Amino acid sequence: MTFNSLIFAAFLPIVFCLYWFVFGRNLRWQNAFVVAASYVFYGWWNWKFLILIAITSFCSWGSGLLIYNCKDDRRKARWISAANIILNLGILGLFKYYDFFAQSFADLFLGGKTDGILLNLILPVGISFYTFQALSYSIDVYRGKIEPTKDIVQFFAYVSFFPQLVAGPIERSTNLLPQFGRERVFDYSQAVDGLRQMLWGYFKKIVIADWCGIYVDKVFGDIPGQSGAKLIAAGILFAFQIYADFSGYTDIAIGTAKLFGIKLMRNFATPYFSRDIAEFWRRWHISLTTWFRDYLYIPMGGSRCSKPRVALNTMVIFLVSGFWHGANWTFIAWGAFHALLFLPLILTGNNRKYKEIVAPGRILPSFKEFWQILLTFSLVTIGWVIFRADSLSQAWSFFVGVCHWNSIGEISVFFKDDFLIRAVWIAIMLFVEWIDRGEEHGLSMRGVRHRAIRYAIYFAVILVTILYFDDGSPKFIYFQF
Amino acid sequence: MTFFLKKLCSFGILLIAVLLAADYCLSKVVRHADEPNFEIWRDVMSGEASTDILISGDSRVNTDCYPPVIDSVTGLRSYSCGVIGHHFTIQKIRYDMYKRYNEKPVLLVQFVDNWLYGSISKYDYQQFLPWMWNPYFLLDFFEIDPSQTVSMSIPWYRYHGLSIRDMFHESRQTRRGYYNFDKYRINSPVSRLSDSDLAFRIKPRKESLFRSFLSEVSADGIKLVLVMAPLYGSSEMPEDLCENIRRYFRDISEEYGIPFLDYSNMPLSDDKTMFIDGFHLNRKGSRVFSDSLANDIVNLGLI
Repeated sequence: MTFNSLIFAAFLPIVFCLYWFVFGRNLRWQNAFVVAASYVFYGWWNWKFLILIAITSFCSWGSGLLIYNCKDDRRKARWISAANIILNLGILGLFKYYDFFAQSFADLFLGGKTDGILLNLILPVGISFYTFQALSYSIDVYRGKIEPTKDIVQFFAYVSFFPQLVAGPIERSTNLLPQFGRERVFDYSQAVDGLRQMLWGYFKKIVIADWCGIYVDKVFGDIPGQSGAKLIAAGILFAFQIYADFSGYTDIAIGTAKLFGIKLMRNFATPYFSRDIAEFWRRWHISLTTWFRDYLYIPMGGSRCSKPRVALNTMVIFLVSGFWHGANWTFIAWGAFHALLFLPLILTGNNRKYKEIVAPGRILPSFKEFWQILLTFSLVTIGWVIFRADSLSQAWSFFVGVCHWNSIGEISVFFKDDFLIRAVWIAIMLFVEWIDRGEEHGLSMRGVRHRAIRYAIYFAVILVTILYFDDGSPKFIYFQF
Repeated sequence: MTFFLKKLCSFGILLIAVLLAADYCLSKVVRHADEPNFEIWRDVMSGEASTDILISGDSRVNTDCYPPVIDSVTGLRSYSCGVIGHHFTIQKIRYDMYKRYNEKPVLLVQFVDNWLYGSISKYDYQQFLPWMWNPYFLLDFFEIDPSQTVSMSIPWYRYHGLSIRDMFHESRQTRRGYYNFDKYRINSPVSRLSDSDLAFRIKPRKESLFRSFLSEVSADGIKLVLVMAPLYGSSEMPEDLCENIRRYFRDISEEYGIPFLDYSNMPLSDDKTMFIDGFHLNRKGSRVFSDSLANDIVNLGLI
């Protein structure tokens, strides 16, 4: 079941009504209902996936209690924590990475023959997300940041909460778990804001991401046959496709959670308005980058060590982050590319230069800010090409093709309808997100007081989104991770 | 919570009103699309398809029957009123709408073939959208496929995924329902289709509809002729299948006293330069066929 399916349109109101009207009086029952609804949501893909998430949830919950009971024996607690990490990462590794390593081994030592060594396991949707979320709990218990919960239902609800189950945000136990431990009260303004955020998410996914995807897939499907200009156009459109797809999903997830009185963490903060790569990584997929920062980078020493060590730590984090996205050398190369962009900033101590939003209190960015944004976006887009390519050789063909222009007339690609219409919608999205760059999402409507204008905007967004909706539209990109 | 639900309901009501209004405006625009389907429906629903010789069937009517040739031979007006991509149940709706909004024809030419009783598919459904809210259209459609009728009636949503801009060209595409191309695109003879694709399936409910249609046309005082149009490579089709189909329509035509003209094996059926693909004649082929059809109509004394 995906957010942009008609079945979800029926699922959500039913769950909403049952959650508040039937189970709203008893917290335990309400949490149990959340687990049941989430398992229905997740099991809709494949009921066999439920076994894995249940195992992950149970082991992490159990290890949390065991770790807390051994809090006086740090060595034992460390072993339990390590065992839980190995088990969960082992499951993740088996499903996601085994075949990749087996194939690579076969390519290097067996002449490419893979008879009998590949498992061809189906990758369970969202396994990377909920595994990390469950791990954050047990690690936080080990560090003493949170006390474990004895309520298994509460914990299962925390891991499986359906809005953020399959593609994040990767929640922290310190934020989400306590929300399942206390009574939720329906908040009108939170619910309305949730609906607005969902609407904005659907607009980005359906009107921007899916439509850009058609163009991008066509070009990437035949790179040698494309002109340099068309490749550049596809690269730019992919940058917006992945942003609109992923941030659109997140907006729908966060907005849906608000309907249930749950506050999820922000995952995107207008990353394409970043002035340098460091700022980009503070605004893109925030839940993942902070997870790696807190659970990998800082324990490795973070920035509080020698410069070579800082460089090594940074490299490791970006490579692991790339690898988290998938079992392909392109993701590792993408991570390495960003590491190379990030290293100069961190080694010179300039990685925390831009902490507040760009052009605060101003309508337009300054000339310098504009060029910084453009340069950062261009570098990020180059990385996205590597990310999107099926292989390193395809990525290389892309970059070679970009340099190959038959004539300057090829620039007309940017003025043809198929690119221009998409560019118009992207411009509208950027305009809205620029106006609301200090807010949580593009349809916050904080500056719009008149109800008629707000309603007109809602209706316009709904009309456009419905018109662009395609029943057979592709899944969200980040589901494959 | 109560206030939230009340607000949601009132927003929902306003939204439905907006969707209805937006759909109404969009339907008005789409009706004027320069796509063959829309042009023909527009002619039919506005009374501009009025004709003396009404030719009914599927898309082969639109490509095979060239009105200027038929008009010049018969001395009467003709209109190629085929429904692109659809079988008899939808052709019947087209005829019902023609009858409601246009002059009674002198002669109705009904194309028949293996696929006359085929099932409704979602192929090319958008041609119906701008007219779905016409009560007669809606009722007729609802009788044959309630679920598809509902989904094609939901305001605004029913236009989702359509590339409306691409439906508009510089000029009208059809001429009295006729549209065609010069060059051929696919050149496979129909004999290469699988047995299941070629099979002639008689479905009782659809056959009953066809029979009542024949009775209705006769009762209205309109002359009727059944026609089997040429197919490319039909001489290579299984003989028993062809004979079954011919016998079936010959029997029906005798039962209802209607002439049956069989062009499925006319000489041009083996000439690939006369066809766009296995089913549709090209411009050259349509002129040859239209001339034969018009002369046969005259010779039979049907007009």
